[in-house]
Amino acid sequence: MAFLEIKNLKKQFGATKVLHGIDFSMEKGEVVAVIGSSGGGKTTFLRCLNFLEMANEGTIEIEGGFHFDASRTYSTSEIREMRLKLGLVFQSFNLFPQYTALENVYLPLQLRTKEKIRAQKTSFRERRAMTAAALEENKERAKSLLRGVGLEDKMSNYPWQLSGGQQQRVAIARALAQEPAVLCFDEPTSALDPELTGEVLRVIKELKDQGRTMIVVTHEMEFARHVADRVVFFADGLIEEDAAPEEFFTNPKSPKTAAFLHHTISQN
Amino acid sequence: MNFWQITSKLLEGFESTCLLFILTLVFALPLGLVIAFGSMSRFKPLSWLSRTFVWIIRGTPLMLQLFVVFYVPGMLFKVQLFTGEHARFNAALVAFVINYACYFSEIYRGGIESIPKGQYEAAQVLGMTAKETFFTVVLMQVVKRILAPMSNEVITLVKDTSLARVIAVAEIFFVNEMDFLSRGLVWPMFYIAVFFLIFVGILTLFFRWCEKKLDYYKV
Amino acid sequence: MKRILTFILALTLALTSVIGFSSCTAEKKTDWETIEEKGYFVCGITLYEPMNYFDADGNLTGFDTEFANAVAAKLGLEAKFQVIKWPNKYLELNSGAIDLIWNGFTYGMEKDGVSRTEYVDFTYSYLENRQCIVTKADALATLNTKEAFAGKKGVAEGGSSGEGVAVELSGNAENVTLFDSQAAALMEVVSGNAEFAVIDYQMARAMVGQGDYASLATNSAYEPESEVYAIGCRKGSDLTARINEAIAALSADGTLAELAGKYELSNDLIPNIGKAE
Repeated sequence: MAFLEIKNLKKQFGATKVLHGIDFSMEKGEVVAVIGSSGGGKTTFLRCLNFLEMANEGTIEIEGGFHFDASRTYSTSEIREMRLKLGLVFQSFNLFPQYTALENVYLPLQLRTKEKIRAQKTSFRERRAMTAAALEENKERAKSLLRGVGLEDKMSNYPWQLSGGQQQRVAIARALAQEPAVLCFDEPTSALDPELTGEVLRVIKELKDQGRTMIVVTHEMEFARHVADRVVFFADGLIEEDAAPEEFFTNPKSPKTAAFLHHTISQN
Repeated sequence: MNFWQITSKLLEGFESTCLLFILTLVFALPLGLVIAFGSMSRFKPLSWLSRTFVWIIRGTPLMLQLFVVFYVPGMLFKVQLFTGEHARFNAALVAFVINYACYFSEIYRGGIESIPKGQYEAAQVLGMTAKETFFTVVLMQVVKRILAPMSNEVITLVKDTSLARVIAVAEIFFVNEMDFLSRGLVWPMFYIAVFFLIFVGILTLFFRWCEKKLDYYKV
Repeated sequence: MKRILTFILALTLALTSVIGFSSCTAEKKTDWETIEEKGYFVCGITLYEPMNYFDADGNLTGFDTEFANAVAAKLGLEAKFQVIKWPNKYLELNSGAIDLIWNGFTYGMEKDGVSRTEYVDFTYSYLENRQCIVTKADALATLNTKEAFAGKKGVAEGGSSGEGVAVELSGNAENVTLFDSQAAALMEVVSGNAEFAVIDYQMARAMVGQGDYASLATNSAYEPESEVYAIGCRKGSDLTARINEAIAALSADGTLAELAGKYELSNDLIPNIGKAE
């Protein structure tokens, strides 16, 4: 079995079928770029993977993580547990505006630490001491993650005081803090001015060098070509093409892929 | 009656006015949130019930509601829901709390529904529970968004308290009507304006301070 | 969600049954029994001299105040007083918020010609009164006949017997504006918004020509028939008979005469109440 294995994933909204049965797998440390025209189902695919949408059919499995089967029903807390194995970085960052960059990164951590401490049957005083210790630990971790994305001097800034690229880097640090097995990006640079996309893509490339497993939905063909290990093309709710970048861009097998590439590249 | 006697009489009435104002806020602010959650519930009968209730309360005059709360139980069921020394005040309080809770609930609902879906989704993928999402992510954003409409509503409440006089609650206008206007003393009525101006002035400063306090982030 | 629904249903059921039960038990008790049990009756009043008003020390006093206290004492009860909005008096009475309308309450008609006996049971009447026209003092010379008031703007207290007189004088209900107190009606004349007000003689006597009402005068161009004051009880209440007994006793032993003397109402007091007929 591969590290992440998805079988026959189907999703429909009402009568509209969006995913017609996706089979997909990837290995640990691999970076997969997902491309395709809008409406092709790539965003829905990512959302199903993060359980923001519940797939109607199919299975999702992460080695040493979880096995999800759409024919079963899951409780909210079960879904929450599975969700934490995957991280998601949004197109529009979705930072929490009332918290600083640092707080954005460590608050979710702190909430989960508190939850764990609460579950322990110790005295109130002990739990308080543990919470205080965990806060320091989580803060330190958040700081090192922010340092990692090059925001050492912006930790106490609020989101509105940051540029789009900086905000997206905070969002990446925030997702990393959860230590997800697979980190997903939903068009991470689409909301950015062209001069700001570079800094975000550079961070993603650095993460690749650290050996992170990532799925990146993107329109950046250059990025797909030079950073990704594999490129996957979505069309009409199916994976139309799945190949190594060189092969994908120079010698596409499917006519749909060829048409798409022709269209986007001639546009650029 | 000299100026100081009249002032002290009016102050007695103003005490009821202030008490009615404060207690209405104490009860209506949380109740409004409950009603807002009811209105937004995905359980249809509950949301239908809440919305109908809000429609009825917002759609009928507060004065009528005061009458209904205080007089109707006694007339139809021969039950005095409110007895004792503070019966009228309590009845007025109930009517005010219900009325303002409904107005607040709509402000809350607008505020909560205006929070972008992305905020909820970000919280979800970070493993937050619904409760954590509401209290750590959504609430402070809602507070900032609703501050302006809330301050409006709260200042309206200050002046609406005078309606309690229709069921003979001894608030400042009732005291004035019964003690002074009925003796032909007209100027105390205009003097009352000073009380309200000071009160609303303090509230305005308070809300401005709140706005400043929340200035550090933008939603 | 089902649990919530069940809870709501249960709550509604519980509430309705509580109200249902208590209304059953309440209906079994008569008015007198309820009042005897609580130990007091509540008189609905508005503040005006000489009937119910606060003296210089801030104590409630006046002819009706002392009268009600005396009646209560006779019945072994306490009298409480609640200042009400006069137009709400029947609402107050029927909802049980007050037990008696006792505030220079005229035995007579509402403006629409419906007898007040349709709304309340009256006790014996105890004081004579009549409606009285009030105008600006400097208008006495021009408004000197009944006819002179035709088409003039008048004011009265809504629901008072003065309202009917005002309409009769001006000849058109549209010329008459109603207020929720007699004092407010007088203010209209002071401010010049209206040319005449029709209020109780007893009230006019105490207020006209004083303070902010200094520019006013009672106008005797027309003097409506005299009326009497009585106390209004809930329809069918067994309290009425008890109060009548007490009034007759207070009339017989001279207490009422003494009270009337104190408030300069001796000429208007009805003698030997409950004896004739």
